[in-house]
Amino acid sequence: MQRSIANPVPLLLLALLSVPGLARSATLRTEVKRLPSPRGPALKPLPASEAKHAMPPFAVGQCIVCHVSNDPQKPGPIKHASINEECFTCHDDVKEIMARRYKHSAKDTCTDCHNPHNSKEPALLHTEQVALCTSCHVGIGAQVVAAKVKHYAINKDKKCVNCHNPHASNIERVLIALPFNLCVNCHSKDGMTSADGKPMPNYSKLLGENAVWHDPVRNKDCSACHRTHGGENYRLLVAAYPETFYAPFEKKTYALCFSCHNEKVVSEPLTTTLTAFRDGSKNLHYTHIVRERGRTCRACHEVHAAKQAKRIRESVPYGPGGWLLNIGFTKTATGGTCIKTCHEAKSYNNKILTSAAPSGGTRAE
Amino acid sequence: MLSLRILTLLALLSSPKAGPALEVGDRVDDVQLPAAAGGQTSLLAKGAVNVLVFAKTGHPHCSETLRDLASREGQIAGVHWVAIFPGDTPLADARAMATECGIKMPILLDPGDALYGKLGVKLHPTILVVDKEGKLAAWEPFREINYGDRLMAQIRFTLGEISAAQLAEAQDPKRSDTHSDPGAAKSHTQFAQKLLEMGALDQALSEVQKSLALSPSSQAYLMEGKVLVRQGKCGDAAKAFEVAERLEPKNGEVVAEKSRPCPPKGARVQ
Repeated sequence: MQRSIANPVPLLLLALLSVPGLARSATLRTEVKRLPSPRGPALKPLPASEAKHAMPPFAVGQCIVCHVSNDPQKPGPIKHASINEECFTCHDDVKEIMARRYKHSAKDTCTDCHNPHNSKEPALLHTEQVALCTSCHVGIGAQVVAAKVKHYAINKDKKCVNCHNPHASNIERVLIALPFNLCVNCHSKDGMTSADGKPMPNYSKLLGENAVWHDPVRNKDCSACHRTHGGENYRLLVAAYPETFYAPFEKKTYALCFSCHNEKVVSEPLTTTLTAFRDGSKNLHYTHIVRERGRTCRACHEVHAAKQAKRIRESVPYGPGGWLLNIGFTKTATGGTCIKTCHEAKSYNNKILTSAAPSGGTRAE
Repeated sequence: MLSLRILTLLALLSSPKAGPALEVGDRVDDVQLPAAAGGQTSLLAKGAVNVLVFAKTGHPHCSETLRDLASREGQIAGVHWVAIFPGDTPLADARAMATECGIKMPILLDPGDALYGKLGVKLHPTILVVDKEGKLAAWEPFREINYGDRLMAQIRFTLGEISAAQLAEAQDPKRSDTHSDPGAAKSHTQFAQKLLEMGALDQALSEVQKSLALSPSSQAYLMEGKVLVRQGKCGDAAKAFEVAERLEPKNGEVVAEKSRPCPPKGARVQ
C-alpha cells in the first residue's frame, strides 16, 4: 500500500485533534502511528523523467545485484531472505550503525523510508523528509503544525536529520549528539533572533564568558527546558514561565522551574532548610515572588549562565530602554547583601533562626 | 543580652546547612524512615551499592524517571534501590505512583523533609549513588536525555564493573552521525566487488573511483587493483596495490593480490 503522505497537513491537523492535552506536559510522549510498510508496486521505480536520484545498481541497469534476474521487466524476488539483509550486502556501514543502542525501530525495514530504485528526494526517500517522518510521528507533526512558537531548524538544511539519526544512535530519541552539542552548533552566532523577533544571545560567547552554568546547561540537556519541535510557550519552553519581569505568583505560571525545583523554595514563608536565601527563618524567595507584583526568577538569576554562584545576575534591566542597574549582590559568611538598587541596601543572615530583617524598603522599579 | 547570644549560638548550631550539603566522597549516614508499605526501614543496605531516588508524586519528570527505572532496577546485582518521597506525601498517592510506574523498590517517606534538608536535595528527581563503604559516589539531577543510561553507567562504575573511560563515554557519548564519507565509500567498494564478480568492469572501476573520491582506503585501492588486473592494466594495478599496501601494510589480501601474476590484456583471469 502506498502511503498517502503527499500532503501531510490534513493528517497532522486530524492527529492534533486526536491528541488530548497535547503539549500540556513536558514529558508527554508523542504519538506514533506505524503505517503499513510499502511493498510490491509501492517500491517500483519512478519514471526516469520524475526521478532525480537513483540507487547505483538500478542506475547502471544491474537488477541482478539485488534480484534473481537481470530482466528489468521481470527481476523476480530479491536474493536475500529479508530486505535489510539485501541492503546490507553493500550498505554494511548502516548495518554497523544499526548495532547502536537506540534504533529507529526494530520492526523497520529500509524500504519503509527509502525507495530501493530511485526517487525525487535525496537519500531515495519516498517523499519529502518532514512529511515522511511525520507520517508516522503524528504527535510531532501535530506539534510542528500547531506550535505557537516555531523552531525553524525543523525545516532548514537537513530538517529532522539536523538533530536525529534516522537509523540508530547511542543517544535517546535517536539524537545525533547530546542536545547541547546540537543546539550550540547553530546558536553560536551573533545576530540570531527568536520567532518573535527578539535578539538571541550567541551562546558560545555567553557560556564562555560566564563560568557558572545552570545544571541543565552543564548537563548538555537543553531539552529539559526547551521543546525543540515547537510549542506553546515563549522561547520554546516546555512549560509555563512568566515572560515579564513582574508577575503575580501562581504555581502554574512557574511550571517550568518547578518541574525540577521544589516549589516550596518559593511558596513557604518560613524555612530553615529549603533555601539559604532567608533571613533567619524568613524565606526571602517568598518575600520577593509571592505577591501581586512578584519578581520573576530573572530579576535575580540569569537563566543559562552567570559569573556568580547561584547565577545571581550582576544587574537588572530598568525602564523601557533596558538600562542596566547594578544589583551589587555580595555573599557573606552569614548570608548576603544587596546594594541600594531595587530597594534600600539590605542584608540577610541565614545563620540565625529568627528574622532580623527590617520590613518594607524603598523600591526603585 | 548574654542569654540572647547563647540562644543565637544554639540556633546556629542546630540549624541545618542549606545548599548542597553533601559532596562526592562524603559519608551518607543511615537513618530509619517510615516506609509506604508500613513500618520503619533503613535508608541504606549494608555492603551494597545504594541508589537513593528522591522523587515526588504528581510530578511528570519523576513519573517518567520511575517508569524508566522500573525496567532497570533489577538489572544489576548487589544494588539496593530506594525511593524517598517528601514527608507530606499521602501514602495512597505514593503507593499509586509506585504501581503506575511499575517500580519494585521500597518507598520511604521523609518526615519534615529532614533528609532532603540534611543532604541538600533541592531538585526533583535527584538520584544519589552511595558506594559500599557508605560514601556518596555520584549525585545525579534529572536529565531529559540519557538519564537512565548515565545512572546505570555510574552504578556499574561504582561497582567496579566499568572503567572511568567507559563512564565518561556514557556521560558524554560520541556523536552518532547519520552519514559518513568512509561509510558511503565502503558501500561503493562493496558494490564494485559485486560488479567485478559480474564482469561489469567499467562500472566496477567507476564505483571504485567514487569510493576513492569520498574516502581513500586500502580496501578501495585493493578493489581498484583487482579491477585493473581484470582489465589487463597491470602497471596501473600494481600502483593501486602499492598504495593499498602502504595504507595497510599487514593486509594479507593486498599482499596476496600484489604477488599474483597479472595476465596480459585480453587474457582470461580465473
